[in-house]
Amino acid sequence: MMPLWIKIKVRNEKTRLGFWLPIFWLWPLFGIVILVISPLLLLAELIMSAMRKPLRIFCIMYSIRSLIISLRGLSIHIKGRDKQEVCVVVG
Amino acid sequence: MSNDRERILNLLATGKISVSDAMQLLEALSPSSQSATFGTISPASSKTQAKFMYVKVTSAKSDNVDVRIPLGLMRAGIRLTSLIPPYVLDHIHKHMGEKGITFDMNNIKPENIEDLVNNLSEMEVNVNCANGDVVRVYCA
Repeated sequence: MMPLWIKIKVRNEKTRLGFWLPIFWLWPLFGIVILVISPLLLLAELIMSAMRKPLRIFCIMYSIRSLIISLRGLSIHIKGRDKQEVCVVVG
Repeated sequence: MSNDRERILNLLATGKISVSDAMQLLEALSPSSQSATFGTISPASSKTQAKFMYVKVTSAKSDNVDVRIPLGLMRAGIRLTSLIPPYVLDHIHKHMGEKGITFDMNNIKPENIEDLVNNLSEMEVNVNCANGDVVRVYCA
């Protein structure tokens, strides 16, 4: 399952910022873009394969998709002196 | 069971054990922990699959870093290397060879990656620096 949100929290003595980024709406958009450009990608792949230099675009796209899916659960929490704090969570 | 609890509390009251020791002993007596430690160990659960790699850095100057990396991300990252075009790999191998590193990425098979990531659950790195900094890397 694709990541649905990113939580970002930044805190220091002066500022206190925390917000959620809903990224679930990005994936249908990307899907549409990929569908639109896939004939071009396929053409490029065919041409390059004929030249014996395959691009493996679809393999790369699949791997990037796997990479994005596995981002779920990533959490980075940095707490410094002077009460500085940065927190990023992908969920 | 209640006798054991009484004995622990008596030991705590008489000062023979500390509060943390008493807590640990009471936790060990609780049914949930008993089932976790001695309970149903099925062949499937005997080797638990780690899902995350944790990197924890605690410095003496109170700079703390806490990172949780999904192991799937590592798997996907390593698999990306299989997409490197052969002529680029040759270039990499040539330059690595010149530096004395004879490491062939073609030898990394998907099953090797699986084995590597699956066995990470048994890995634990603990570094205690003289200045009080502590670095801990483990999978769970």
